[in-house]
Amino acid sequence: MSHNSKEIAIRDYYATSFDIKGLERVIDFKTFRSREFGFASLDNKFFRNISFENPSALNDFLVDRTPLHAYVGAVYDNPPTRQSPIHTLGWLGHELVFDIDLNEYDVVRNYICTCQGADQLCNRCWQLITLAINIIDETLRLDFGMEDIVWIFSGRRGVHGWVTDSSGFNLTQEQRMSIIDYLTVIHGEEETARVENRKSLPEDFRKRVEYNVFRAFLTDIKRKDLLNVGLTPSRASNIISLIKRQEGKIDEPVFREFNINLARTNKYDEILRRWVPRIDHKVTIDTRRLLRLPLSIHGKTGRIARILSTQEILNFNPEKEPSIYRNIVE
Amino acid sequence: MSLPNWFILQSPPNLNIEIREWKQLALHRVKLLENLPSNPSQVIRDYFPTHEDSLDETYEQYRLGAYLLRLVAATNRSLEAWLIESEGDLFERLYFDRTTPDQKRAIFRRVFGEQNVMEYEEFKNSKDESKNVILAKLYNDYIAGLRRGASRDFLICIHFSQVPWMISNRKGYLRKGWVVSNENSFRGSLKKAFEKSLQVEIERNQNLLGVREEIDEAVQELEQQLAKHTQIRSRFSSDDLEGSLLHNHPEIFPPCMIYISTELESTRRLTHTKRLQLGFFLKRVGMSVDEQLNYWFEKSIDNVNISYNEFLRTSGYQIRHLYGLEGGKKDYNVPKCSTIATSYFCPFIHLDPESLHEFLTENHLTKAHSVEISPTLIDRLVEESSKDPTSCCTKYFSYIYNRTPYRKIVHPLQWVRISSKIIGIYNVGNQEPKEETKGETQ
Repeated sequence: MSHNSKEIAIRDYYATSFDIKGLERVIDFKTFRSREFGFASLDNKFFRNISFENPSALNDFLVDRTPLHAYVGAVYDNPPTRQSPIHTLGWLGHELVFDIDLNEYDVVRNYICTCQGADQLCNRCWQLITLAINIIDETLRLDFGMEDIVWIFSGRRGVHGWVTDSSGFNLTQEQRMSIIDYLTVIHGEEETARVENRKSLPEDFRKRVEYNVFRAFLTDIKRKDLLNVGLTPSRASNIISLIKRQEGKIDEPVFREFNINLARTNKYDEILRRWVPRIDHKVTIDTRRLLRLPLSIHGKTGRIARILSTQEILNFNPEKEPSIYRNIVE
Repeated sequence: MSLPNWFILQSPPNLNIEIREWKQLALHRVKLLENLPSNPSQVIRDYFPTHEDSLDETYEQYRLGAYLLRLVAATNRSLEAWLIESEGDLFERLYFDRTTPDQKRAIFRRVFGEQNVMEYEEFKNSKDESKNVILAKLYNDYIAGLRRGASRDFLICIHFSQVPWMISNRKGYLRKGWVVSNENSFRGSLKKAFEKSLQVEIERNQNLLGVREEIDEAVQELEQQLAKHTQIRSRFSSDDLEGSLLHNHPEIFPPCMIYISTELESTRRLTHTKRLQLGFFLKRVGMSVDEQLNYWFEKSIDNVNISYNEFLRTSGYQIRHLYGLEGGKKDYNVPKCSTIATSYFCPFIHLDPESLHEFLTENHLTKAHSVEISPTLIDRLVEESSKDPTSCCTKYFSYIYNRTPYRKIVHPLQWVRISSKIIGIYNVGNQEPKEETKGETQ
């Protein structure tokens, strides 16, 4: 695809479909002037330390310069510019953000589906993302008392969760790190990562993780998968027939039956290791990080980093997301 | 609810005072802080006899001294580090010994901020949590504690942002952004928050300099006087143990490191994990990479018949790796006790009862401190060792140094930090360790 045709498609999107007002759901326009933005140009040169007087100036910039990627960063005590870059300014705040990307799951994805490589994904492996959203969202609301959480498709293989509560905005790196520690159930990225001791997890949180993980695991489960996690043939058949009787619905009795049986095997850690959320820690902890601008285009896929509603999260299929490049004919 | 009169972070005291007298009060405070590590109980008894109102004037003088010291600390970063650490230790002790539950509540509000502290009932009602089963269980446990005699304990709720350590370690019950727990479990975080508040106060005090010439002069004089002070100067840099040459003083090493280094001395050979554990530790107590290369070259049997250059080429890689100079170039820390328990060597876990008994009865620590621990106490430690090794280690610390740490020993460097304070090794680079204080009987 030539630069020229990409440029036309990107300009067309920012000039006709992009609604800058939608951004206000994620970032506060009152501090817009002193917020950092960054861009990658069509020839993949990267620029940061850029700020705009107001949202419409950003909109004009996007139409005029047609960047391949657009990013948004923290708020500072003065507008960032090339002459006064962010390291010379006082940091005022950054929304608390969680990045969940299928890349982080590559070592365990083969247990869940047959997708291979960075470019393949399916409904089944996207379940890992949905599961992570469910656990993180519920934990942030119930345990941390955060209310305004917006989930945004990253445009490719993941989602970004933006906590827009004012309480999250001023958190220090240490405080952000503590939230990550709280949410971390497995230590390490590899396939054999250590799973946190069951007893060290708070009761509410552990039940939430188990319920979500087991529900995802049992959805469309085959008998051989149950045998693989150490269940005896008769117990596996019992669970399969119980699920069938309930027309595939995984509810409390199924969950309980499975949990009791799982306790007899040593596969608890194995299941958790494959399914629990794998958050990119650096994104959450780094308070000066640039993140994809919500509602902007992912330059590689041409898909829009759009805000997902609660209903959409459950049935979202990234493969079905339209690309602005779809109509380009070379 | 009012703050206790010894608490220094409260409204500025009456500054209508002679400068010379004020300076004396500051020096008096320095002496108090200096004496604290070697004999805390005595210091508290001597300086803070009771919390009667008749002593208000004395305590106001203490606060005046502390106030001037903060001004001095604002001019010298190293002095600031010393002051924050020392005042933190004093705060912890006084909070523990001299505070009523109401005063504790007031301290929580002052240190964490009014908006970050809630009473249990207030939390339950405002957050609509009256039907929360876990919360009810917490409350029942608290009531049971009261019946058992823990009358000074109480439930309190702190906003999660103020207690990141507790969030990371999932301590307390986190609900709707608040950590609900008993007062006792917040103590570590409270001390850290106190030190942070003190630092903020010191920074704020900078504004007061340059207003009155005579105060500036007094501050300058005191700063020069204290900068020459050996104990303070040597503890200026930071609370990090690195660079402090503590590795020359095995009498302050924790039992695990004593055991490993003794084993190396006698067998001249260690397993890989023990080598790593000792290597990380020696690095963090100030041994340079060259010194450690020498150390292993001299101690280890594997190096017999090879030249130092050959050693540098082969085993040297591992040692440089510890310092982050090779491979992934990571600056490793000493593993904490829980990691040591599972992956390294802890005598309380990994020695059989008989060997543990023998080791605890006589080792470098008992010899260096001329301590004889009664066999009954050792038996008890051996019996409990597998159930709760960190508690046993803490108890063993109290037998060796005749002082009970405020918190459980959970990290080898924590042992070193406290023991070095007790026996007065601050500037070990050019100072011999003092004799340990003769204390209460065991």
